[in-house]
Amino acid sequence: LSGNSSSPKKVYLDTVVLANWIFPPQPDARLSVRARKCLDLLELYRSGRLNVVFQSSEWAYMELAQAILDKLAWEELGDEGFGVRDFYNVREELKLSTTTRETTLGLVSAFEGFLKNLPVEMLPVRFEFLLVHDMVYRYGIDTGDAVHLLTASGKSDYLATVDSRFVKLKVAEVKVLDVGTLLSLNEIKKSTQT
Amino acid sequence: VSNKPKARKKKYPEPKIYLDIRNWTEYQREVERLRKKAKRSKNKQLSRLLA
Repeated sequence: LSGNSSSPKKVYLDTVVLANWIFPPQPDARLSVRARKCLDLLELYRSGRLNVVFQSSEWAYMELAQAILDKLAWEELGDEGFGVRDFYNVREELKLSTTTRETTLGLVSAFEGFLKNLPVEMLPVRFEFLLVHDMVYRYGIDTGDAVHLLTASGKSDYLATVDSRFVKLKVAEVKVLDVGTLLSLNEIKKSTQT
Repeated sequence: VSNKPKARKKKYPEPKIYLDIRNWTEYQREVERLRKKAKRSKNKQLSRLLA
């Protein structure tokens, strides 16, 4: 036997993983290693080869909105020669047309429906500010990541990300693993006869 | 002439509730539909977002 038949591991998905799912790549698209790993995770899960329960939270949706807006802003303003440092100052100049806004909401809405049926268990977001602050000060992370950590803490076995800085922190609350490392673990694979 | 006050035109439409997307294939189909819609509307913002 390889893999295992024990209870499924709970894997909390970081926003960066979901961000790689929300825009399905075109067949001829060139994918980064990070994007490929995220899509492999989805593919293996969809084909029933992983013994896991996916989790996330509405906090991820909040961050996805920001990621989409940033993508739109960068595509629009990047052409004007702004550097990355200036980008955040000019981002507010971005005016979205009604069509863009409606379509973007439609995309997020469809994605939410997809995650619900995948299924991805949505954990209640933990906003206890003292605990969030504690994580920010302890690990030097931003508040967004601290909310994810706190939400997954005690509820998830792993937090899956492709953010290498997050992985290097070695946080105590939950095992933060790169998606590639996670996929190499036998304990998340379903039992198969060899 | 009617004294009825004119209904204010909504500036922004309300976001729609989530679509019941059953699987990845359906989701990809929905994104493809949005991509085509963006292409038809010649909306550069959308085309870039969904490219």
